[in-house]
Amino acid sequence: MIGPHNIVLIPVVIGILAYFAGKLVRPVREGLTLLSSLFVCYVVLFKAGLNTIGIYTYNFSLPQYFDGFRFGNNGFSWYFAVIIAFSYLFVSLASFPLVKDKEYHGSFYLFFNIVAGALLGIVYSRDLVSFFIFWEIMTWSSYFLVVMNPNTKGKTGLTYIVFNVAGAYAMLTAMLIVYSYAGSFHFDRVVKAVSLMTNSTVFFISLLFAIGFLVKMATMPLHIWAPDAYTESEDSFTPFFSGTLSKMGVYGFILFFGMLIGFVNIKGVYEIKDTSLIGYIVAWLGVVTSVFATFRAIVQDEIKRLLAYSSIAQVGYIVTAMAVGTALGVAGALYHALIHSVIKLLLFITVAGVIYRTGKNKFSELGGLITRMPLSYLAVLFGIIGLAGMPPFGGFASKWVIYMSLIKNHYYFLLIGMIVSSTAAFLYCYKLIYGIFLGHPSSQGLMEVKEVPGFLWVPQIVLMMVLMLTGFFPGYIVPFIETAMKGIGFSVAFNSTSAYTLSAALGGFNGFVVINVLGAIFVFVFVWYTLFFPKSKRLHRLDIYWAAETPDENTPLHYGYGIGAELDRIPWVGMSLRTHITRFYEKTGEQISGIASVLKDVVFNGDGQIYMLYAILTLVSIFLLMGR
Amino acid sequence: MSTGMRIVDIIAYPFIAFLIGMLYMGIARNIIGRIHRRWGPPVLQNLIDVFKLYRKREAGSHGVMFHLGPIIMVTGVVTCLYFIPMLSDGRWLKGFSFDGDLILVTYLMVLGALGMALGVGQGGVPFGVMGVTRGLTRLIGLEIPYFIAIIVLMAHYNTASINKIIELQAGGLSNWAMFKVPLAFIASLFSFWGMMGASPFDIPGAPQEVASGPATEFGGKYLALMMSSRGIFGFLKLTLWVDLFMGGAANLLILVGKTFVLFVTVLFVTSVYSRFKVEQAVDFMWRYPTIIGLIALVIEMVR
Amino acid sequence: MSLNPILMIAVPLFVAFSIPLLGYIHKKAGLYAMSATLLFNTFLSFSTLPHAFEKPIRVIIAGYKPPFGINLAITPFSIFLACLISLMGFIVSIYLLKDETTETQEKFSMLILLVVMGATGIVLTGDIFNMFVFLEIMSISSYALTSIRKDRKGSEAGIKFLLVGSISSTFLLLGIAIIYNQLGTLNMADIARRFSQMNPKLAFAAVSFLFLGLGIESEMFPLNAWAPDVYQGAPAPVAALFSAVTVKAGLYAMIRFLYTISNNSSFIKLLMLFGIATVIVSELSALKQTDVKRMLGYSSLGQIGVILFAVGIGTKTALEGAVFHFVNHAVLKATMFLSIGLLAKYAGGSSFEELKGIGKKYPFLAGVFAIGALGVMGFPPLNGFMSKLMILTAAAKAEHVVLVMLVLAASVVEGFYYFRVLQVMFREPEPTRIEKRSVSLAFVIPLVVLVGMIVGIGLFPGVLMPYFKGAAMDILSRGDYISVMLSGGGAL
Repeated sequence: MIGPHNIVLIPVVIGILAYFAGKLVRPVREGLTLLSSLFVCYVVLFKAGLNTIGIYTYNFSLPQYFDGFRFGNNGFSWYFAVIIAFSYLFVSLASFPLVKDKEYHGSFYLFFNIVAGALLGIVYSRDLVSFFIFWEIMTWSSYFLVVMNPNTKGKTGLTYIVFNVAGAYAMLTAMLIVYSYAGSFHFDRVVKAVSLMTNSTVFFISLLFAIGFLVKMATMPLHIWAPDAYTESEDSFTPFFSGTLSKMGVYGFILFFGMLIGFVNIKGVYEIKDTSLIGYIVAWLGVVTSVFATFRAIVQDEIKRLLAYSSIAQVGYIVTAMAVGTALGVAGALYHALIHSVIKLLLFITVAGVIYRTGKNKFSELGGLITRMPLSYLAVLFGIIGLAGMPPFGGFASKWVIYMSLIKNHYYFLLIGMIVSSTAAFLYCYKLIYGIFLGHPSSQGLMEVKEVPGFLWVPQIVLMMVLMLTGFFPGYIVPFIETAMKGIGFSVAFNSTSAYTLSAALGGFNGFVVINVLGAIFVFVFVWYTLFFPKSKRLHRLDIYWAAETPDENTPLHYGYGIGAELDRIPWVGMSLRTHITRFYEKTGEQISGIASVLKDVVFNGDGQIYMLYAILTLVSIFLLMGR
Repeated sequence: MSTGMRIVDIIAYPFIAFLIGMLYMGIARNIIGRIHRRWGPPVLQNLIDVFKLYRKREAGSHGVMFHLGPIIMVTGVVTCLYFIPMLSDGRWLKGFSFDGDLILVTYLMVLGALGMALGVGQGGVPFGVMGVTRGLTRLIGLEIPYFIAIIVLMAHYNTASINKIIELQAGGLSNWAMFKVPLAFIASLFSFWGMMGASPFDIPGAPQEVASGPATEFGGKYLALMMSSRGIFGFLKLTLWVDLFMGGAANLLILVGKTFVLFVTVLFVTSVYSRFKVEQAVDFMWRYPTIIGLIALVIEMVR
Repeated sequence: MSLNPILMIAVPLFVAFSIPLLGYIHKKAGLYAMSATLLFNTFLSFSTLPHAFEKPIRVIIAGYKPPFGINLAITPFSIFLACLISLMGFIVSIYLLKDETTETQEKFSMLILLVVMGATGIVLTGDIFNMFVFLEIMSISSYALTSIRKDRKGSEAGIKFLLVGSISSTFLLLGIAIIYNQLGTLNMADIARRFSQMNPKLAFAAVSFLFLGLGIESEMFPLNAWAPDVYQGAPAPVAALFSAVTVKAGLYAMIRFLYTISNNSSFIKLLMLFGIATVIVSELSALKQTDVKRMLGYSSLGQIGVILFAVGIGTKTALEGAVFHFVNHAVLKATMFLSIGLLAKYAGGSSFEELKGIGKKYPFLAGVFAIGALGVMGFPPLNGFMSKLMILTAAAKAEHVVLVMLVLAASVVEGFYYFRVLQVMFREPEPTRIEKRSVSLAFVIPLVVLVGMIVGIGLFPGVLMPYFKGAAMDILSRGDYISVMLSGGGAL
């Protein structure tokens, strides 16, 4: 029977099958992928449903002391599995027209399916070894997807793999330490073992786990792989990359800190302001990330790079919310994880479509596309309303929960940091939509492009509707979040009981009322305006106020692509834009490289007599050190 | 309260705001005129301007979004208005304020401006976009002390609901939040002046620099709607500050009185100071009002 | 089958010396004879395997019972390695069937048979001087094989190998001489039984000498400086043979000596430290290489360092991991050297410059290389992952957390340089100066088999687990070894 324990195999096998079968008939790959994603959605929703909690143990072909691989499902895994399944489906659909003519068609579908399978494996595994195995599979398969694109710089792929592998190995070290205390890799035994550890050990392993997951979530200072990797990876993979892969870091963090180690345990270690020390540090890292990344996003000219920095910033919110370890905080993190996935999928898919149609990926080369691509305009509009966290759509609900969680537990300074980032986000949201769709076209031929390919419409429309519905009925997601949190042992965080309202801690709001009021006023004014007034006269695009002159076709009028140039002059912001932590890593890399050169040239220098000398020296040192 | 009265109550909301708002703008021009030792236009001038613009036969449009821009602006402003109670008795003129809280109101305040920005974008005038950019950048500066002040309020009264805050300020002048958390009030005042468009923060629509800013390309009925919403928005902010810091108002006259007092402070500031550059504004707001707000916050945390 | 296991040594020896005669019949007879012999060896070792795991076999030669005569001690660990060596030798020999170094074909096949025979002899014998003899046979044949192409790099590498190898032989002989002087016997089981009777100072000297000598052969840092030169200079299949066969034999000798014969725990700990040093130094040195073959050599050293580290830890799980890693390392390195040999031949060299974009011209070969690289780095679900995990788990359980972190840090470096190579191969534009030639079947079959092993062992590690357990038990239980070898082994 297909269930959480073997759903992993479906995408992986399909991926390999698709690669080879597609050598005969190319479209088979798309078909197989679509079938696989539909099947996965079906299984996740119905077979491995919200209330199925099962544990399956595989004992085949393993060394004895591993005790077998375990898979299982609970509300928490289900929550993330739904996000993964639907991202898989939407990105499959979106990739059909976009990857169709690329030369790496086969490899794309091979690795994309493997990644999807690996993600499912991660959320369903219930022992440390299988968790790590699927984490590593995710790492290398996403690496190939990043470097597949011929425009990717070599450095991007290497930075990506080094950071992610280092993070994974940090995680492995922590797992091995835990194993040495627990005697087993299974989650339930691990939980008991943590209480046996000394304080410093608990701190050490939580530090290592944090490093592992923070790398995946691209939190500063471990984020430098992210902007390049998000920007340069294959356009149709980036939605999955930024929307879903980063959420695995969220899953892992909450899993390990919430359930396995327990926020209670690490709080007991070193406590500060009613939360654990490491949690507080990570929360501040999240705030710093969101502030710095937001300002960086504003000054970008490449579309995908702006969205990349925006992703880093938004996940920073999630990091802050969950690191402080309160129930409402974790709830806010989960809510925002969902909303952010939806938003980033929507935006990246739309942007991929725009780049595909126009062949340009910079704001300075686009503009004025609203008349040619109305659906995409709407999609991006919904996306930025969500990004900015504006009512009446879903982005506001999740931000509201995060703010409430911080206020409730008196983390005011963290909140202020978040507000800085949140307000600055309006700037890049506006830049995104203005640079592509509004203003004036900056290149030739833009006024003849078509709307994005039809396969993209389905994901766009569905994701827009999800954003709307979560805004109108903000309380609808709440029971799912609460079940997910029960799965990791947190108690209820919300006060609300209906789908229309969201209330917790200090207040609440009724999303349904908001949209009704807004809708009513809008309709009223619109009708009054359009019907009771004379029709407006349609003006030519160039017929604008231009100080008593008239601009012509060659006057550069697409001003808004330069938004962000003035940020340099604001002292703090300018300073943050100029500091780069890449310098630190580059210096470290140079140091290691230097040592390697020394070793290469001095030690292994090619002189046979020196080699003989080494042997003699070794013998002498053995005698000296060990002789009695 | 019967359904009929409730409907009248709700419909009256924006009109009260409109009338009082436009009136205030007219009075403002008079007072500033007197400060400048001149007469100033008639008090009803702004209302007359709006009606004149509505009566114009034609207005130029650059597209659908352009057409919708002012509409979204007014929608955003009025929606926000509905979530702020005008009177404190909980029966009349409370709008939908029981269905929303302070954070919702804060975000709804920005909704109108963003909608307008979209319309400006399609208009395609560089001056408009410049104005929008400057406005959004200025927002980064203004929101920080404002948010710090609200956080102090929320922490002090342990609620995020505006109605509850008004309730907790009952009992006379000394119970007003203005006096209970004075530093927060002072910090928020700077933001308030900025949001009202008082010099030195009147950056987005700076006439000598960006030719009216966002409003540049709009004319006729669009400009009328923009001016109306500007009036309503002004009144909205005044009411919000009165509710949060000055104990709300028990009836319309007290509301007018308190808002007028607050409004006068705006006028005094705007007529005296000259304009900042946008980066100076942000830098200023991040220094002094923020520090004052942070001190208030620390005091509140310690308590 | 009840063939005497001695045939595993005797037959290749006989065939090796008769190859020149066969050469008169047919030019390529030597190569075919070599493959046939190795196939025979493989069969014999595999059929002896189950017997040896039940009870170790003792084969007596020329009727002299131990402790006086020379005997073969076929214990689980020995026969397991013998299987591995024969199998790897056979796979490489298939590859060589098509190799085009025509003029030296006879010498090639003879020398390879001698190398494999020497290695098999080392792992199967129960007499310490016999082991030395086989080690010498193996080493000298290796020196010759290194320089068989008579090119500059090969000859230089061969000389260095010879220089350092001669030190190794000298010290080995010294150590054995000391032991013989003290104990009067050359039989390993007997020495093991009476080792504690030696004068402690002399015992220490003997152990140090043997540690050094065997360390050189096992490519331990800093005694392995010759190895990268050899891996770069020797022809690719020879390099594959070295990393799969000769170094394994050296490691076997080291393990057998330290665990069974002398049971010296301080030297075992020393092995662990040397292992870590090997790993770190090798991986860092690989970072700056511009020649892929040399880089592979350093990587091979790194993996051996991991094995040494695991052996040094000394717990049962560590040893199981070490034996597992023996297998994985042999298979992976053989794959990589064989594929890079072909790629370098088609590209005209093995430096980064020459290999740019080769992945697009020869996707199959480069794909094989890539799978090998992923395996070496230890990515699941390939075979390298499981053995590395077992070793690291054992290390963590033995509280060597810092060392675990060092090994993992070195693995990150390893990942960096391997992915760099892969990027150079696959992402650069296709080279126009090379035309695509078809890869002959003799080359493809071994590669396919090896890749199948990599993936298969990775997905089903449990199939081989019982053998690892048996081999690890064998290493640890020296008492059993002594009693079995001295009292009589199991039936054939």
